[in-house]
Amino acid sequence: MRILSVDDDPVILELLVAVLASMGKTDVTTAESAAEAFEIIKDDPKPFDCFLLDIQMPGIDGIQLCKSLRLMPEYKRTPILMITAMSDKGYIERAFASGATDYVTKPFDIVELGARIKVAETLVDAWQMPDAGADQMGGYFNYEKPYGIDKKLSIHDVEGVIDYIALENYVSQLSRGMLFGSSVFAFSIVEVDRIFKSTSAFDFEALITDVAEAITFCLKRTQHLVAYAGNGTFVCSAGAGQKIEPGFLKVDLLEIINSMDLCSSDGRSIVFSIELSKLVRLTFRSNQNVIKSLAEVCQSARHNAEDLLPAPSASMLSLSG
Amino acid sequence: MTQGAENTLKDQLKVVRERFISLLDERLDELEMLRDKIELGQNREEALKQIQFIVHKIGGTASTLGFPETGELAQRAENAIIHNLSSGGEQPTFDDTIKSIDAFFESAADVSSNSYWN
Repeated sequence: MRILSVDDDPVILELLVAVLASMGKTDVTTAESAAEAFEIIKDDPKPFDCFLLDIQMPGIDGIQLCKSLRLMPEYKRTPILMITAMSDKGYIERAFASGATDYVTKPFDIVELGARIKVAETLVDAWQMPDAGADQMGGYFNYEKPYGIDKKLSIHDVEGVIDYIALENYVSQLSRGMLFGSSVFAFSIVEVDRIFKSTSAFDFEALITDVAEAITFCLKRTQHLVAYAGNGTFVCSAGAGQKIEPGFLKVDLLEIINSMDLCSSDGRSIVFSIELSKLVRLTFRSNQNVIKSLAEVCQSARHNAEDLLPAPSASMLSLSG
Repeated sequence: MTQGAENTLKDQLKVVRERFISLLDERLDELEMLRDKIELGQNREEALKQIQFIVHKIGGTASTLGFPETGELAQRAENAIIHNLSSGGEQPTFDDTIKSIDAFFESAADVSSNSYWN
């Protein structure tokens, strides 16, 4: 695994190189600033598999650097671990919203850092599998998709939308600290199975991206992060003290989606309904239970969406030419 | 981690620790200069910001490299500076902030001088 580590403190860089070497990761390049990192990336023909970025650096900080990396096609999905001395929620949320996959806090525990690197490596391995992305497959514009309906698709270029695993990392780190009071909830597309079967991979992914965009628009007044959990379900986290009114949220979301006039690439309009899960407060939950809460709200949203299946109505899905 | 890898890590951490100590000397010189500026009443806010930057760096690695007390005091000094600057010098007071910086300075100077004699 090729790693680029960026920190303005040479001691941290040496420490990282030592810890990574003890894990057998010897292909590590270091940079003392974002500007130097850009130079290295530009001059190095072989892409990196993982980035470790310090947040607080003079000039371009780690969050800006993370954002810039995500704009580069070859680094849209590369694991980015933020290394920060500040357990400040504002920084952490901004880091995830900018595309970070995970973060470790300085001064770091060597064992924990090792574990985080291993998680990143698992992601790299998974993405390097031959069926990793629809764009590598021939069936991108056919109804046959190279993945199942439960795939937690990555959604790019929508602010506040991150990968499901990054959201898991985010909420689990919240529980470790003193940041209680956040809540999670989920939205699920009614009859997603039928939409999945009757659209191409391209159209399905475009639809998922559009719905994600609508959700973030709905939540624009709250501190939030959204991830796609597969099965037409989107899970959202809202910061501590944020007032969420599920009833209003659902109505707002449906209105926005209707106004989007969503169509497949062959011109058929895609009309569907959305159901909302119960809202789960994360207060006083342990690390593992916080992750379980994400699964719980996804299940709740799916359950509510599936309850509507036997009695389709005008507001529910139709694909019509 | 295998015994061999653990030993290699220990050896490498020893090298990083030496580097930390040699940089600590330089950083303490810089801190002393900034501390003098504060004593003389020269642009206190800017001097505090620069001190914050230095203690932030030391706080990021000291504990991992085996200096938990210095790391802890660095973080306390950093927090005190952040809160002092953001509260317009009210909470904690300027004097208490300086006390936090001095407590850190003393601990870091001990690390530096002990390593010199060892």
